[in-house]
Parts: sequence; structure tokens; C-alpha cells
Amino acid sequence: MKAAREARGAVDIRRRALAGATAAALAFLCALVASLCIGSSPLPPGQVLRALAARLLPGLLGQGMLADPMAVVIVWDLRLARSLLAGVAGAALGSAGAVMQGLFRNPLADPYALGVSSGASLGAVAAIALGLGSPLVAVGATELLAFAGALGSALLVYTIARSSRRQSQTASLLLAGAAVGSFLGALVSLIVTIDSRDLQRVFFWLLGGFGGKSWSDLGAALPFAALSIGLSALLARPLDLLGAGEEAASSLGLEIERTRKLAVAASSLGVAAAVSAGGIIGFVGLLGPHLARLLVGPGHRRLIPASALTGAALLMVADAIARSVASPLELPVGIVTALVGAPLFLRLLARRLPGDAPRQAAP
Amino acid sequence: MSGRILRLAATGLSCGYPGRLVLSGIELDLAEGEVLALIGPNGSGKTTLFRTLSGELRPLAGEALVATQSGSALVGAQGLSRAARARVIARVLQAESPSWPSTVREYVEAGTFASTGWFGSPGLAEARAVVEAMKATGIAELEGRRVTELSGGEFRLVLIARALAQKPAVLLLDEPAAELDIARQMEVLGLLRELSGRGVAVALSVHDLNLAAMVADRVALLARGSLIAVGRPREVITAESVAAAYGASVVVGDHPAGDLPHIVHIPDWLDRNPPRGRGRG
Repeated sequence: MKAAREARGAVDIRRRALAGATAAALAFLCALVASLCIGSSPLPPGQVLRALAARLLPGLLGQGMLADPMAVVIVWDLRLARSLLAGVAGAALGSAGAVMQGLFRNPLADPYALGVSSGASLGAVAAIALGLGSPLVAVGATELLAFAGALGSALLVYTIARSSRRQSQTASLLLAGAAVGSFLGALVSLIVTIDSRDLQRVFFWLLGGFGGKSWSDLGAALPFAALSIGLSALLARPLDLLGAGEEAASSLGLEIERTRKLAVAASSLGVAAAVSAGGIIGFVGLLGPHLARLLVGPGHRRLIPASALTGAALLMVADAIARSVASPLELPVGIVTALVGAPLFLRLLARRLPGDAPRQAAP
Repeated sequence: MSGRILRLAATGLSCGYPGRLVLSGIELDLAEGEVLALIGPNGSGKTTLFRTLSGELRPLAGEALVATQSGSALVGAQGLSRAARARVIARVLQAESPSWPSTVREYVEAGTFASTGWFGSPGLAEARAVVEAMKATGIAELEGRRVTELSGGEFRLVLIARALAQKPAVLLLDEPAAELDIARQMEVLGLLRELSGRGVAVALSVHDLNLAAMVADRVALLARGSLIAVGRPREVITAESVAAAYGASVVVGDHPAGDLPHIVHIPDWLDRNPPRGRGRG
């Protein structure tokens, strides 16, 4: 029976998506544990798990299972906060990337498509150049101004696109993002040229990294990243509809403008949280959604959470490599994500999926 | 025509885009259980009229009106929210290119968005509407296929199924017969007649005048920025009107099955430059 076979096909697709979602979650957990193992004094996974349990579930472990006190200190006081921060930033970048790709209907869009990275850079570089102190105890001035710069530039891009008279405001958004991005990027270069005292710090910030980050940084980034991912999840069905094009989505009852506004808000909040936590980290927001699409398919209800998981896994692993590969020297994590991410991405591109080809007009 | 329950009406309607008037002075209505075919040359404004009637495009002058309930008063389509419009009017666009390789079922499910909204997910009623829509269009067995893998004709049926999943009272179809083979053309036109039998108000644009004559209760001919004629197919599709609107020379005869006009092309090149092997008729 052909019908029965096709119905099975639909069930298969659903089952495969479920398996993919499980794989994404496992990848996240494995990446977290691996990032805790890797470091200047490597720990075996069993030791890491026992050390985690020692503070999470004290009293649960039997006498023979006690964790090495040194491992507990390394895991909890040195590595965990940093790994989780990388994970949170990666999750925010991954889901923001999925939202941008959905909004622009383009798999090439990344979370920085709205010029947000330049806005964040401008904020951070200004803070470094001016030697600003922070009004907040928990967060440094660099992080604070990077966050403000990211949100400010997104708002600017949105306002410019909103006032454009072009037919597609979504296209205007992309164009305004490119223009504002290079304008702010030039301002960054200008500041760095005039005031080159802290070039090393600026350089490291622009390439991204989580060196010296602690629990308070995690506490600052987590609420915004969580809010961003939550808003993105609300956008799942609207983004599915947008995949058919704006006119079709509108005829199906979708308020395009509201969707666009929420997508810009959700993604720029997440990117702002990520850049203020770890600087400008490329490629995670592009690669995360692509990996997730391989695992769970193109439907945004699964894609957005899966992109958050793959983005988190990628960035945790990249950060572990960045701090250990040339130890005691620490590489900027942006270098690792690009060096590892770009070849991986190219491999994904070479692997054509069934149905991945653009729809051809019938002859 | 007494007892017509109007669903759509255009009064003194001018439509187009900023700086470009496409149609003006349109007086047209569409009742429940009626099939209306829009015909006219390329660029005569069929799609623009659909966009305006569905409230997607703001009228440049006059009004595009819609009844949200059967027998309720006509109100401006622009004044309704997009979701309220989508619960009444469904459109099948002339062309659409899916961005992602979604499954056919996911694509048809998008038709239930207006009834579930942003936060709801499709429930039992929506799932039933989706299955019925896929059955009615004969694509039930394509359910698990990726929309990016389909042929043009199969994809057209998916678009029609998605519109049916909206459970619309008004169905506006832009070239629903394009890209379909002749058997599927007849199935789709038959489906439109069946929907009209259940009270749906159907309007379609179509290039093939014979298909228009076969399926439509009334035909509206658009050309040169206005509505030239509207009425029964026999009244509107004549050799004179086709020559005037399209500049094409045709002979209008009778369809073998009954009282329908049937047009046959007689281009001037057929004599000058006939295909090889053709004897002179």
C-alpha cells in the first residue's frame, strides 16, 4: 500500500526529529563534561562527574565514590562557571542565529546580520579607551557598554528600516544592518587608531574569550540569554509561516510587522548577552542552526531549542580548546570557532540533504 | 439574481501601488456558492485585484468589502486584523518558493495558524482540517514528502490544500490550474465546484478561457485598467470581447457537453507558416 508507506514516511520523519533532539541534548551534556575535563590539569570524566555530584547532591555518594577534593575545587571554582558561561553565550548565539535565518529566509544570515557586533564592539572599545569604571559591582564597564552598544545598534537599524519606503522592510533591515555595521565598525577602528594604549585588550575582546570569567558574569548573562531564547521559542510558528514568504504568511493571518519586531528584539537581546559575556565570537550562530537543522529538520518549534543546544555545545568545546591547546597561553575563542567551524561548515555544505535543493520551477 | 448572500464586494474600487494605478472603477461582488473567474491579459490586474479584495493591499479609492459571517453586513477588509481576515478569506498565490525543506503536512498545517494563533498549537479540529484538505486535493500520500522535492503541479496542490485547511468562506485562487496536467486540472476545477456547492464563495484567475467557461458561474474580464465585462460565460467570452481585450483572433463555438462557449484559436500565422504536414483546411 503506497498510502501506508507514505504515512510511515511521515512517522519516520517525526521519529528522526525526536532522535535528533535527543542527539542535540546529548551533545550538549557531553560538551559540558568534556569542557570540564579539558584543561592544564586534565581530569577523567568519572572524576568530573563525581566532583559535580559532590556539591550538587552531597551525601548521595557512597564511601568508595568520594570525589577528589582537588577535582572538586578545579571543577566548581575554576572551570564550571566559565564553561556554563560559554554554554549560555553559545545557546544565545545559536537560537539568535536560527531566528535571523528564519526572519531573512536565508541560511546565510547570522546573529550579527543587524550590525549588532559592531555596536557591541564600539561600546566595549569606548569603555576600554576611556578607562571607564562600572557603576555596577557585578559587571565590568566593558561588558556593560558592549551590551548597551549591541541593543542600541539593533534599535537604530530597526528604526532606519522601519522608516524606509522600500517594499520589503525585511530586506531594508538587512541592508540597514550592513550599513550601520560598517559605520560603527569604522568608528571602532578610529578609536583604536587614535588611542592605541590598550591595543592588546581591545584585540582580545574583539576576537572573543571567556578568560577570567566567574559566577557573577554567568549571573549577569543568564537572564538575558534565557529571555532571548524564550522569546525566540514564541516565534517558532510565525517563523515557520514566514518560510512561505511574506505575502503567503500574511494571507495565513500572520502580522508580519509584529513578527519582525519580536525577532529583532529576541535576537539582539541574546547577542547582546553573548557579546558582553565573551566578546565577538563568530560562526557559532551560523553553524549551530545548520547542525540543528540536520538533526531535527527545518520546523522552528524544534529548530530553535536545538540550535541553542548545538550552539552551546560548540562554544563550550571551542572554549575548552582555546584555553588548553596552547596552555599556558590562551587563544581567543573566536579564532578557534572560525578555524574549527569554517571547515566543518564547508563539510556540511558539501553534504547535500534530501530536499535541500532550492525548489525548481516545473519545466 | 435573488437570494444571493454577498461575501465580497468592490464598490468604485481603484487599486494599485504607490504611484501606479492598476485598476479603477471596479464594481464587482461575489456571493456564497458562486464561482467567479477573472480573465484578462497578462498585467491586467487580476492579482492586484485579489490582493485588494483580500485586504492585503489598501484600496487607492472606493472600497473592498467583506462579510465576516454569512449574511452579516459588509465591512472594509482593511479594517480587519490579519487573523480575522484569514479566518474568512484564503488565498492561493500564483507562485511561492518555500525557504526550508518542510514536510507537506507541516506546510498544510500552516493553514490552521489563524484559528490557533501564536501560542496555540494545532488541536484535534485543526488536525482533522489538515487531513481533510490533503484528501480533498488528492495529496494525502505526499504527507511526508519535502515541499522542496515536489513537482510544480504537486506543490500547487499543496498550496490549495493549505488554503482549504483555513476552512475559508471565501477562496481566492491565482492561476490554480497552472502547472497541472489536464487530469488534475479537471480534478481541481471539480473541487472548486464542489466547494461552491457547500456555500464557499470562490474566485479564481485563469488564463485558459475554456477552463474559465467550464468552471465559472460568472466571468469577469479585465483589460486596460478596468472591468470590461462581467456576466455569464456565454455573454462575456465572445470573439469580439477576446479580440478587444487580448488582440487575439478566436472563434467561439459550443462545448460538446452543453451550453458552454468553447473557443478555438485561429492565429494569422497558421496559414502563413503552418506546421509541416498540415493540409490546408
